[in-house]
Amino acid sequence: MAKLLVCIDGSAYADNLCANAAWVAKQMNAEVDLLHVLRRPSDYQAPTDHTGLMNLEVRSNLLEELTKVDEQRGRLDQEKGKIILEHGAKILQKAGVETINLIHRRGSLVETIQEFEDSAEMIFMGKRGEHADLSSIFLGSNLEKVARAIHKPLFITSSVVRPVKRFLIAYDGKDSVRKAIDYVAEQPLLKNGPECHLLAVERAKDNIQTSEVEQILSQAGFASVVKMEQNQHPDKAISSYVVENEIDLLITGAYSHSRMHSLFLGSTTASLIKACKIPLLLFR
Amino acid sequence: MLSLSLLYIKRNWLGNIRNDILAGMVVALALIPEAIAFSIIAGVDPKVGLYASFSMAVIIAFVGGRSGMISAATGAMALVMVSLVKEHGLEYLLAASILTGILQTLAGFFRLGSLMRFVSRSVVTGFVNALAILIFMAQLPEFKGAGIQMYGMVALGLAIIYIFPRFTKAIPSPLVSIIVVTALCMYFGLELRTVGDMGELPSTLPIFLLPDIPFNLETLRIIFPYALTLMAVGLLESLMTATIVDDLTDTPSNKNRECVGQGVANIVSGFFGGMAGCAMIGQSVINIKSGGRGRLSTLFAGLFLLFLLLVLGDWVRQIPMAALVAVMIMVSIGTFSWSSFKNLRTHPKTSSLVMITTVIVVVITHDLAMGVFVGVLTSALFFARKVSRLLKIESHLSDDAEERTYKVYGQVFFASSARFSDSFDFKEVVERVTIDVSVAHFWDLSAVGALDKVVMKFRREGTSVKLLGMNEASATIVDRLAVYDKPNALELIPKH
Repeated sequence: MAKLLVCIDGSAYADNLCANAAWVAKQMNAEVDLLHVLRRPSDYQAPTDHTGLMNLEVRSNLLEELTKVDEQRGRLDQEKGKIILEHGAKILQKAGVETINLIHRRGSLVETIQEFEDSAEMIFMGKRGEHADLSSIFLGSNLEKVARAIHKPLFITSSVVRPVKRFLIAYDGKDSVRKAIDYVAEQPLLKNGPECHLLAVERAKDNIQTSEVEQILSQAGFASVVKMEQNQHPDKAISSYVVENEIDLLITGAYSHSRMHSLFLGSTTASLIKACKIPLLLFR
Repeated sequence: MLSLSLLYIKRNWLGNIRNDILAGMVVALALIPEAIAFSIIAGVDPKVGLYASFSMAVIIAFVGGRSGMISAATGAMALVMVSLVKEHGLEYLLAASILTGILQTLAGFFRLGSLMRFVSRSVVTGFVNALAILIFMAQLPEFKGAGIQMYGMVALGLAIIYIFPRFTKAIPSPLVSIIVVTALCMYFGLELRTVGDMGELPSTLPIFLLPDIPFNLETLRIIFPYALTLMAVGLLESLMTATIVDDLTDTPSNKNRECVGQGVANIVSGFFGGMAGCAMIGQSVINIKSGGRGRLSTLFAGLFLLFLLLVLGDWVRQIPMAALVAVMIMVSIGTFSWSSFKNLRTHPKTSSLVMITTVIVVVITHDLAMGVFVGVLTSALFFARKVSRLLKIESHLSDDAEERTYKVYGQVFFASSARFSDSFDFKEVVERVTIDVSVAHFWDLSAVGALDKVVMKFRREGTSVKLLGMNEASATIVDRLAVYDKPNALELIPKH
């Protein structure tokens, strides 16, 4: 049975995340691993004392004091994590997911996800974590790191949840999107219902050929609407297409540029995640 | 690679900017009196220790293996160099510092950092206590021939250091103490020795210089023993401090990288006119206590130190030695592990003995490396003795009284081999003896020799011996070393 790895925290996206995951789980007949990762004690600010005084037993006293602070915080975090997981499990249960495994871990989010990645079919994350500002134009730092580190499809939840009636594949001819199309064609995820749109945006005269993927999709039973467009900014073209056609789910390939490239030129994928208000399924 | 290094920079440098800068300032303020005091212990101008502290802190911020740890001129290192400076002068010290750095870098490349695991907790406590005692003793000459004014000022300084934090924790109390004591001395015109009397202070940025020494074997012969001790002491204190910081911050460090880092920092320090240094237990703890966690705190401590010196040089000159002595007494009190007194009663006697031996050897020889060496040796011997007790031999006679089976449990090695041999009854007359060693471990030549002798002795008495169940570990050793099953076994047995 396929497994979905759903990474939740106390952010506003947690409920949507579970709703999305429940839908996918039902489509694919999958079970859900609900993961909550606690921060390590060293990720927090420690109490400070600027006296510069070395009093008696300064080492052991300091260790005692720091341990006490971490201990209290750790307990609170643990309790909060339990509540978050139970809350998520409740939503999933209500939505009809049968098997839900709760995973409560401590450490770096990226490393923890990598640890569980192999057994997962798809990974779910919110756009931003609970510590990030909702109105911020930047993405959560964790999302960016995870998107670069993992190799499984990544489902990114936004602040809207609605049934998927129309989905859009943003096609650029690169391998990661081809993987996405194969996935859509082979897996039961989007079969029987949703309307398929394929949008190819050419920056210049890239000569993106769509006939082959159209064939794959039609063989898989998708009657897809295909559109070619020329635009210097693919992200803008895609996000306006999403709004105009009331697309409910965007599927695309991720971060095919090197980190260097994205650092200086701005990654199309990152700006897509920022610009589109709908869930996004990202393929490596 | 780039994404890795970006993450690295964020975690190690920019994760804690505000607190790192504040903590760096607290540390820099505390470093000034210490660096001056340690220069005076080593018998060199204060600027040698101050330049060392600046360059070590700055370099180690980049190359060290433990973020948030402070390295500078230290008491432990200063104590080693005293006689080198006295007999050969500053230039030889600088050369020795560079050689120390080279040796430490090599030690890092050969991963000697992992040898730290042989230094037991008791030895570490002994080292720290001995260091505290030596730092305290080094302050005593300042009182020689001094009047009541000196005692009064030191007492006042100490009082301020310990009482001031009750009013505010925003400013370092040792700094307040130094300022008050200096102001009082200047106001009343007290005739106390000042830092300016102790030698030259830095007036410029440190400059790159080759040590002015003859580059020959004779020089190497002079500096090599010192460099070797400095290397050992420096790495010991640095790795100990790294472990302390690991515990305090609950984060790991790279010990071998720290060895190389200490080496590079000492090489640079030597070329810029600074004495060899290492990580400082006290200052690192103060840094952590003040909220410093990242490499930025170490870097800022070094930079702020130099800034203070260049700006405040004339004021630093006026600081009376009494104020420094008060700070150093605080350092020695803070370094000493007072709970080790209480623990003498509760800890195992052997651990306490190791700790006390380490302290005594250091206080007598004034050599921290020697103390640690003796401490490690004693703890190893105690350990061997303890493990040697993990040996039990049971035997039973068969129903027809013709065969005795010995069953050996536990560890057989040099310390337990005699007890092993004594456990067999050679006077009993039986036809066959079976020695079952299936659950025993034979560790070394002594163990194998002992087994050989036992087997030979039985055979000479006409008893046939069967050896049962040599487990893997024992079997490999016995295969290679034992003689009893070879044709000329009787001639081969070692004669004593």
